[in-house]
Amino acid sequence: MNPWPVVIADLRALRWVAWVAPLLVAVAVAVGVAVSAQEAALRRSSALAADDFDLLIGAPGSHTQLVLTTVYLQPDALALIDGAVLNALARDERVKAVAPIAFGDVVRGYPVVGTTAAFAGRWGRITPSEGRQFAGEGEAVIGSDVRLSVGDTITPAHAVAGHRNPFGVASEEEASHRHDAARYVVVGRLPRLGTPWDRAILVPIESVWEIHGLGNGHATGDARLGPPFDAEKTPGVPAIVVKPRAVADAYALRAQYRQGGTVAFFPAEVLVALYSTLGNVRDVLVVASALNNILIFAATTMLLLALAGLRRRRYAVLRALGASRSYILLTVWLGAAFILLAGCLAGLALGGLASWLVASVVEQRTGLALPVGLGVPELINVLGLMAIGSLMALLPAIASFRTPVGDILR
Amino acid sequence: MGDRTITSLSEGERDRWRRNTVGLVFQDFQLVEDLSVLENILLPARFDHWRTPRALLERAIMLADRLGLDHRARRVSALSRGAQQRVAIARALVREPKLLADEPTASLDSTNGVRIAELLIESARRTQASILLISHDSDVLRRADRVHQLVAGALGPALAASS
Repeated sequence: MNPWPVVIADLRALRWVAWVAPLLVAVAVAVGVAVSAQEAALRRSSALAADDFDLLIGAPGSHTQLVLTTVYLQPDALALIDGAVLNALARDERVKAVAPIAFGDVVRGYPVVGTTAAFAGRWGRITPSEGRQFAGEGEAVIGSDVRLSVGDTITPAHAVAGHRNPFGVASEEEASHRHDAARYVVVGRLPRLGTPWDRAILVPIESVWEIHGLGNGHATGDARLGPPFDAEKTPGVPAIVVKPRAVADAYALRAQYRQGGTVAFFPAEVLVALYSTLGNVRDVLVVASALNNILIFAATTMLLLALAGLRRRRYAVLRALGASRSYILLTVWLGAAFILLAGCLAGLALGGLASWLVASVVEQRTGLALPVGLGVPELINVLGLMAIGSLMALLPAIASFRTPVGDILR
Repeated sequence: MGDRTITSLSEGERDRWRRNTVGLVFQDFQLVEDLSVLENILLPARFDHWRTPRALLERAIMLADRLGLDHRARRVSALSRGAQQRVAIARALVREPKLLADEPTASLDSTNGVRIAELLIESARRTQASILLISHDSDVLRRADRVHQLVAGALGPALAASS
């Protein structure tokens, strides 16, 4: 038997409903797909952004805030820790590398981050894609997304809490806090990291100290950058990144710097806590979208049942012309399944598109590149819904199967 | 019907019997509106064939031609009532039924009515089929071998074919 001509005629007879019904299913399915894809991408990319931040040391305060400020460059005023800690760490045998991270200035909305050349190169993991690394005070390397050119001269301004410039725009607010005497020359551009640091302007920590009238951290006349900072009094810094030699060293350092006026922790600890919150939010959204799916699937099945009822006479005529009951069953099932399955497939595509759109908004706002893609969980989710759809499509099919022919034709 | 008692057949056997033995023309045609003329004619072939056998396809086209239908016409709903009825007749004839039933000529004008009646009779002669026809049309009744009158739902005695 070949039920397709009747299936196609049935679908054609639906006119616009044949498009709108799968579209409704698609929107419901897409929400679930997007939530799942988005959350997975957010986990992956936020963990990736924290990759080079092995151990963070800061002044006592919120761990989460310290991670948000240093790893994700969400500006906030952080208390400073004694610069002497920096030297102690630089001399520590358990430490492979150490770098201060200092914030406070902006240029056209881009945060200016003071650190060492070693950390700007991510402990040797990246080299500038254009120009070179900063090698002296007054030089800067820019993240891949900073809209400046190598060779530009920039004047930093003191960032004001609560005010945030759009990226790449010079505002009057910024101009009024400008450090007029300070200059940086852009000497290089870093390759893309897919993290908020792509929008940072990296300068030597010494310049940041000096602009704020704290000296350069070194004994006078010494123009060399980086630790040890041998001035009589090393200026304070908001955060220190430590790369320990071994896992045991990492735990020992964490234990040691948890007391005595500092906090020390692995960013992963904060992320795990954030993910668990994120996971809870995801669970709520998953339940909501599942309920959503149930509603839409039930409504669509009702529609298809009503349609099968309206078409009782047509199916009775087919029976009178010699169609078997199973021909009618197959015809109605295929028509109903087509609507539900087309909706599921369109939902998969729509969900992918939606999470891609959300990802580009997130990237624009935060600089965090979300590698959204439809993975196995999303495919399993949609395959499951397709299986449910196929089963639900059986309801109108069975209803038509059971309808007695003679009564209808009389 | 022949040597078989229809009422004793199973549902599946009855379906097969209807498919292979009876050609039905409904008073209101009951075409599938969103299908083409050819698809409508071939509909009874779809019930047991995935691919339509060539002979059936050719017969469907031949029937459409003989009934003055363009088999390529895309939607039967756009056709006149008379043309729709001819599609219904072609659909009933496509599997060469042994018994052709119902009111096939009621909606046709007299020229077409005669043409159809001739086609029905010729088709029945060639396949040794019977035609069970309900009609008020004297032109059609004249051609019948046996005429019964229905009086208040009961079958009356056989009348002379010419009366």
